[in-house]
Amino acid sequence: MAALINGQSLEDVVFQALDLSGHVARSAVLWDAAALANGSAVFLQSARTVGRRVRYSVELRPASLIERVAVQDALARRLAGVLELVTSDAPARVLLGTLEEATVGMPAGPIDNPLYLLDLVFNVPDPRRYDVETQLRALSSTPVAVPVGAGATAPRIVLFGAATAVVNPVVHLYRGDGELAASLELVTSLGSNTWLDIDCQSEWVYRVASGVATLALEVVAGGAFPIFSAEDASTVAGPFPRVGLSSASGTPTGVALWRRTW
Amino acid sequence: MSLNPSAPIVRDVDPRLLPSTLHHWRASRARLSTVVGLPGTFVRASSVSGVADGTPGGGVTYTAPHSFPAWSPRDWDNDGAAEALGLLMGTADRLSWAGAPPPQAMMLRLEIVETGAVIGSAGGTLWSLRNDGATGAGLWLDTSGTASGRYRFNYSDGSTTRSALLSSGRPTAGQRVVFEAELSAAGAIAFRQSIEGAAPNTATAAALALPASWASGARIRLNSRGASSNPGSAWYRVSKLLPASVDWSLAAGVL
Repeated sequence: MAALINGQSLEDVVFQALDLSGHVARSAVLWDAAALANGSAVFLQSARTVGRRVRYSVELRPASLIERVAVQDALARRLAGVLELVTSDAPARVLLGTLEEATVGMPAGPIDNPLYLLDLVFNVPDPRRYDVETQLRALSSTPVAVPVGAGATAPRIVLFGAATAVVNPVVHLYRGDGELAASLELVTSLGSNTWLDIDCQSEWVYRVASGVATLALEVVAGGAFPIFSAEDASTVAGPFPRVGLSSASGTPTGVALWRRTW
Repeated sequence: MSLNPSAPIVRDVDPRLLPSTLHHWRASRARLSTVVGLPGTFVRASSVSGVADGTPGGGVTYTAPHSFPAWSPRDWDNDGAAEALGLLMGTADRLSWAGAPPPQAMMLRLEIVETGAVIGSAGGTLWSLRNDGATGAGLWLDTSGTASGRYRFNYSDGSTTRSALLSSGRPTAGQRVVFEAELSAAGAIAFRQSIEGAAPNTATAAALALPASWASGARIRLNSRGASSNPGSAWYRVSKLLPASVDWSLAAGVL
């Protein structure tokens, strides 16, 4: 079992890893609820998760007290800022965290002994693991499956224009069982050298024409921005949600880009 | 109902990592910016068809329109699944980032899949640190030309050019290639090319003192040597420039 921090194992400075924990446990989903007068509480539509703390304890054996300082300096640099944490049990998934604690333990014995233990604790406010590699599927009028993990993801959807303009495109999201879950209706005409960049997270839309992007929120006419959710998959292995396109005229095409979460 | 899932919706965070590299872009994020948020400038004034998507089993393609980066998953770990996202660039594509680290000891790691489009031509450039005119002091990785041409890593101090030309190893279309090049503080070049994970082919070039600065306007570029000259062609996965104090074995890391 090993951990990679920003893609590096720390093996060049660390003698051995002693403990890695906090990265496996599932994080509970907390549903917001509202109390009703003269009745019991009811669930609201929003849900939250609490973050996780990942502990990584290592032993270091620098050759001297002076080298111990150098090792500490190197670690301080490499553990600064937002960190990507990957563990060998899930090498294609990444946690994002920051170093919260770095506790040094000195062994009993001669004061000149440079050996020490380092207990690193990372704060991971979003407990889920993301795909390291972004997923991509080509979109057309024939719905295509979009694999999901255990969580929900807001994708980026790009709709392409064509020489025969694509007029009033619609993005359809279907459940794994084929039922329509949502549609995003857009009122626009996409000609050659033009595409529509839809960020379903921020719910912002950009029109890119010959490489120049402009905000195009006005094209959203109705419906809802699609969310790729495990709850729309029949099982964890599929059938997965599907995405398809339609339009008033023209042949709609595009791509969906997203990262699965667990 | 997917629009209000009981599991919270993940926000597609784009963390801006602190730089422990001089420059680091990776296609897995599906962004043109580097991992520290430096925006990339992408140019392609035409569409490109036949770009593969990630559907298992392959065979599904799309047409990337004018100025849309041709993101395309491929198999990088040799397991038959197209799990790694890369940026497919032909001779009409250019990607660059403003600014360049000053001349110093540094190492380049470039991960590509060969497309075979330019390796038989002279000067097809996969990576460079050069100005728009591709003149003056700079670095670039290009093809030597001829039907048996190979890749080489070049360094110019503005008047003299040193080239480390591989004497063996010529990737064919579809092969995974990792390039590593090291510029020493004395200006010597060590160049390595690993095809399909095999032992690297190597080349060196004699030392040439580093200039005080690169040519004015030098940028880090993928797939071209200047604003318009010497385009390359490849599927790009990672471009990373590290300070030379980093061990070769660590250069493969994400950051």
